[in-house]
Amino acid sequence: MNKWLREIVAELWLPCLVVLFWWFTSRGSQSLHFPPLSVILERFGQDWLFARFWTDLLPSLRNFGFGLLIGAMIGAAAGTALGLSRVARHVLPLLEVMRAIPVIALIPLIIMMLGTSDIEKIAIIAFGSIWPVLLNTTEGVRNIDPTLRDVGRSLTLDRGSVLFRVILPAASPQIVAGLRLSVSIALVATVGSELFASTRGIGYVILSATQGWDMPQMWAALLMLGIVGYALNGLMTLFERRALRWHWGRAAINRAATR
Amino acid sequence: MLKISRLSMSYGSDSQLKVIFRDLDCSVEKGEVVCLVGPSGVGKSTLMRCIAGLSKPVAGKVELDGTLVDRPLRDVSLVFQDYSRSLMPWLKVIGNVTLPLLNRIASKQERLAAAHAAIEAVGLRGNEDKYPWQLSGGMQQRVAIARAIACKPRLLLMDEPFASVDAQTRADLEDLTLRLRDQFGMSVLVVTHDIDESVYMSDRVVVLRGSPAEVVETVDIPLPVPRDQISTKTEPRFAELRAHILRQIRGETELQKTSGRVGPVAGSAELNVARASSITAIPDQIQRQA
Ligand SMILES: Nc1ncnc2c1ncn2[C@@H]1O[C@H](COP(=O)(O)OP(=O)(O)OP(=O)(O)O)[C@@H](O)[C@H]1O
Ligand SMILES: [Mg+2]
Repeated sequence: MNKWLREIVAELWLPCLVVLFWWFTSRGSQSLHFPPLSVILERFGQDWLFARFWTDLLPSLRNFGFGLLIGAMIGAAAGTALGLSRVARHVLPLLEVMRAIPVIALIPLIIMMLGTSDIEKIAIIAFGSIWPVLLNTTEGVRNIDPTLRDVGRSLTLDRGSVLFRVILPAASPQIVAGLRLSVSIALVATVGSELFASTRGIGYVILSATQGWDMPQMWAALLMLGIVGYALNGLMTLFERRALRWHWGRAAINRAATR
Repeated sequence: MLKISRLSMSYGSDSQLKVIFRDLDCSVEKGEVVCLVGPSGVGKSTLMRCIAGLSKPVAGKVELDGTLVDRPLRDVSLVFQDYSRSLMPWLKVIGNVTLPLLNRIASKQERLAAAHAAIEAVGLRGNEDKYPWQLSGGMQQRVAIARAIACKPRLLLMDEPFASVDAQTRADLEDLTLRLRDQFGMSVLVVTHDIDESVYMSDRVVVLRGSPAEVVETVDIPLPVPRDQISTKTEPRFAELRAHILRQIRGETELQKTSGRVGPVAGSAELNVARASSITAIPDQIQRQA
């Protein structure tokens, strides 16, 4: 318990300090663009703890979740297939190009093709999340120690077991690293998709609040976005710690041995 | 039991063709421990891969009790040299040992029982829930051995299994291997660089030399069983056998020996010559040096 408390303090003391600083410097602010934090927080409570939680936050999170899931699955599946095949070397440059195109740039095209709906938004998010997972999985699978594959074969595992019990676990550190990148791209894509021809979602709230000069609402939405991003990152870290415990544990022991 | 007939293997093709061995014959009988020795690069690992069904020979065949080995067989287990690369670091000891049983034993309970029996047999009880990388090198190699014997193979293949552990652990693992052979009645084929080890463990030692490699001699080891690290290794016959095998590997002919020329074959440097001659004096080597 004590340890938990200390970790939380270590993690949050600086953000708290910044918020305090913000609170006091913005007190009584007359600026149109930078309203007092007290006003923003009040608005935050109204919007995100109550009214807009269901109508805007949840749809955004749902689109984010589905998009990321679909993108990551496609990326992992295609990356595995590619990593195991001989053509990877030739296809990789092409994929690097695809990855380099910011997904935001494709939103008009996707809207043209799919119209404006949740499907369209999920497609945008999925498209953005595919590439980091795809490229990392390809690399991860390609670089597996050949000894491990020989071990899998000599243990007479069937193909499915070799894939799921040897190849994918061996590549998992790289796959998870790709997933982490995909998470942040998916968040960008989520907000981006809501800035175009949209009627709800955090991105939509930010856009419409700005257009209506409702700065407290915009700031409250930004704050919410920050919190969502932070929470997602935290979840990702927890997941990584659990799923890759063996990886970090081994790395630490190897480091200690070579020191 | 294991029968290798006219086996040929080469790497590359056409102008780059490198023949590793040609028309190799060799066999291992049931319950026998056979060691394969030879200078570095002669093709021992290549031969092991062919026997394990991991590499396809260019010609000839490997048979196990009459079955053609053209892919890894269930009755054959392979212990790799590098335990740190051959154990799955994301699986605990029990998971590693259970892995080969997954598609052999349907019942989970029986699977666990078999895995526990194998872990017990290599003396690792109590370490089931540790990750391999939390164990010492010798213990990791024990895990690899447990994984190999968990499915009760008829033939255990080991490619330089003890090369990266300290001398004491090595001796322990040699004895462990012999004990497991007695316990499970399997045949064991070991590749080793260590001539002491080959004489100590084997019923027969197969000496490979040359390029393409050939079996220059198969040496019977008539030392009494069970072997013992101290009494076996101090027998006069042990020293004779070791000296004989060393000479075979270096390619010294009887003629060279009598004329007093020392002619180590290129590539034999890695052999543990220094250690071999320091433990027990080899009579004619002393004469030569004098
Ligand atoms: N995949 C490969 N492609 C081409 N040549 C290879 C390959 N694997 C091994 N060789 C060559 O085959 C020869 C025999 O190699 P091998 O590993 O079987 O020797 P070894 O007797 O096991 O040596 P060591 O005692 O050092 O392990 C070597 O000259 C090596 O360069
Ligand atoms: Mg070798």
